[in-house]
Amino acid sequence: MSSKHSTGQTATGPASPTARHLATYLGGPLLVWSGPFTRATRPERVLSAYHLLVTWRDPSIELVMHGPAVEPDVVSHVDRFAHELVLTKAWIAPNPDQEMIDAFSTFATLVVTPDDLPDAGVADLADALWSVLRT
Amino acid sequence: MADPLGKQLRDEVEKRRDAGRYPPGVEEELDHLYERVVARPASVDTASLHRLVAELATPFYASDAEATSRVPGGRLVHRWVARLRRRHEQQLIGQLNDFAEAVKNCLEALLKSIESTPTHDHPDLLGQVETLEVQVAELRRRLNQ
Repeated sequence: MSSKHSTGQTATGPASPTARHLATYLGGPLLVWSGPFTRATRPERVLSAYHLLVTWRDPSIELVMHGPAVEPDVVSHVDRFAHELVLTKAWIAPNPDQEMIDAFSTFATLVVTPDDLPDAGVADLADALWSVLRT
Repeated sequence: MADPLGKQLRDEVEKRRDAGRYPPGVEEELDHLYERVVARPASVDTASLHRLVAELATPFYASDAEATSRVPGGRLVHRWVARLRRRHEQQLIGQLNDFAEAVKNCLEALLKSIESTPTHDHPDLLGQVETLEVQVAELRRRLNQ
């Protein structure tokens, strides 16, 4: 299930640690990817698209990628990839608890799942995400 | 698919395909970078391995059983059996300690080999490089705005 919130920060007062963290530090639109970390869901595409977004579109965009670590090595690859790309505003959150999931959803500007993402190049994907994020 | 966001994203992709808004080859660069990340061996925590190997240095030893007994003469029997047992155990313990020493030497040689490969880390230099990378990335992003 995917959704887009006009302003995540208008949700009810932050109660959980994650919500408090986001309420304090979130400085721009929050893109949330929610799906299992597997080779099949190709989370690295979202990270590449996010890299293009923050490098050529809007450096204030933040990213959360969360979901079950079905293939733990994929999580570690994605984490290292984010590190290599110096994506300091990307939060890779495998196996989040319900409190984190709720907070991510509350503060998200846009939530996408693997099923939402077309089989396109990352540049096209980045542009598509950008067009939705800025509306 | 009935998902409206999925449809919106697919429509946008169709519209923007081949628009050429990013530097040429950027997608390929990202693909290659991810391939390199996947191919890279995970860094080895040699400090914890050293600790585990060091534990092998604890020698095997024979523990003396209690020589006390409530049975008349039992104490004497226990002492004789212990003396007899110790004589045979010493040989076995000696062999076990030799084996542990050989395993320890082997693991230390392997650790030395791991640490001398080009994949070993220099945390101090890596920290400096990472700081520079962050600064360069931030500058690039500001310039691209």
